[in-house]
Amino acid sequence: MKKIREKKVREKKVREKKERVKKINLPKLDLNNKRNNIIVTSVIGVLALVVTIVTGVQFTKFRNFNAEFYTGNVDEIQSYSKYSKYLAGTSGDAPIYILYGDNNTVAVVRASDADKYDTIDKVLEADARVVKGGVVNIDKEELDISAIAKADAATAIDEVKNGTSDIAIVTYADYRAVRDTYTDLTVAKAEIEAVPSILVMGGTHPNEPSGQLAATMFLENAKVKRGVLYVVNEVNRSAYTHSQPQEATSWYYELQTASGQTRTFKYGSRATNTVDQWPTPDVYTHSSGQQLSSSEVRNINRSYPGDEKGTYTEKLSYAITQLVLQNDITMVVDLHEASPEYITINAIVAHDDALELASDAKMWTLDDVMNIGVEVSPATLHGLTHRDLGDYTYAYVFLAETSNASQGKLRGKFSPDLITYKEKDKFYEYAKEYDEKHGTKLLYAPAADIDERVARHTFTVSALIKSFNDMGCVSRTVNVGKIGEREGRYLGKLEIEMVPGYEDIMDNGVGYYLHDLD
Amino acid sequence: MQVYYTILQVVYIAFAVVIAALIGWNVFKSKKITDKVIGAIALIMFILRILLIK
Repeated sequence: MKKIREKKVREKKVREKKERVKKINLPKLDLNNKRNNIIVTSVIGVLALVVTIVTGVQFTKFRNFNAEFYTGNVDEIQSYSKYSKYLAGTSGDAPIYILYGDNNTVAVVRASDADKYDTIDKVLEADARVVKGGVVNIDKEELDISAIAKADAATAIDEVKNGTSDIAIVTYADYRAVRDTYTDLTVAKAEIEAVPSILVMGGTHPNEPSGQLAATMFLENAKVKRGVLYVVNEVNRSAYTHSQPQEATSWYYELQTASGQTRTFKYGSRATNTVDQWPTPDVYTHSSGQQLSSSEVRNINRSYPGDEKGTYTEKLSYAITQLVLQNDITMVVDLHEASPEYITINAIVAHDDALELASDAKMWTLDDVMNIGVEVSPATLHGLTHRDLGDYTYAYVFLAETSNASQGKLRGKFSPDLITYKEKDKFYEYAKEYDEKHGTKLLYAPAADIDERVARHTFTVSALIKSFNDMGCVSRTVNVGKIGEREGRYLGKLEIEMVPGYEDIMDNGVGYYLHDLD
Repeated sequence: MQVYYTILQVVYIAFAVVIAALIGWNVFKSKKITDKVIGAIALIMFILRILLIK
């Protein structure tokens, strides 16, 4: 009875409320009246225009925002358009940072002579060469300049500058010391000494931030002693100009440097901006004939080896392929992330010819506090770096994955803290606990914070370099390549120092190793 | 391929302009406020797209 009474009281209240609402006399606008219609349409139109302008400004601001990086260690900056000319002036024309080894031997010539000395034989045939500070004739065997004193090298370069001699064979560090003063001098194209090189790629997918940050660790901290380091930390810059559709992601995230300065980075989309590439076909057919879902047509990591005149994404991947080919880069490491529930995670995926190096690198990781899996690149899955960049270049190609909760489908609300995982996501933490308790495999790896993810990547790249050095320092031998056979050759060690190690980053955080910007 | 995509892009934007104009006309002609509001919201996306902002 009591319940029935309460129900009746509730119903009465609802009835009374409805009646009160009815009594409010809304002004009735007769939209058949032309004047009224114009007023109402104008008000709605102005409101829509305001929303358009506000959102348009926000989108444009995001599109045009480029994260800044410290380039104090960089010797040369190239851009994609050097290798893929149709990208010139477009949003995807990303910078390629190059760091030369201090001890690399180079031939310094007058800039006007750069093309003249494009082979070692031409260097040796020159009228005068400068070594050890004096004008002498040299043989190839005498190219070891390790004993040259700084002053002698400076004198040698001075003589080229003065026109006393044609060439100074010195270390890159010696040339670097004067290059800003002697801008009319340059390094000859001739390869005076064969050195190994590595390309570290981050930002292939801008929704996988540890790849970009790990590449940035190399860009901002590395001191190359021997060899050449190439860093591209915005591989698909067009994908950084928009956000992942239907995911309501944050656009930016911030990290604090050691001094407390805030560095801002973008969280973009997996795929090229539709503003740069449209339309999207129902089925994406790769140049190999492989067919994938339409969403992959703007994924740069399904478009290798690329095409100079192809889609916008193919032009981007063509630039990377040409960068590797034209500079004969020895190793390529493409840094990625995946959601914790994705099977390929905390792993190195290696091209067939790079599998031995990857397996050796895994041994180094076992010695440390973390473990990493090694997987061979599927021969029939085309368009990926570890497959087609490997097939169409002479480089050892690897791809590495870490565990990123912000990409996952189990996640809760999106925020910049989800990107860095400094604030843990309750759903991923529940899944982790459930796995631990029941021995299930909801997650292939627990969600990790940005420090651990970047630490894993930097460690993986360093381990691969260590393995290359330990396994003979020989470039890749290609027997059944799509670009012809080639024997590997001895290149000597690749020596890169000052890159923070796994424990450094875990102890101090990623931000500690980011430079302050002016 | 380059020419093909350029032509498609131009055709696509032309379509977007025509549809936006039709929506705009419909917003004006409609006698229901809800229709006007819905049309105006739809118009925002088209304007951003035509200007290649989003």
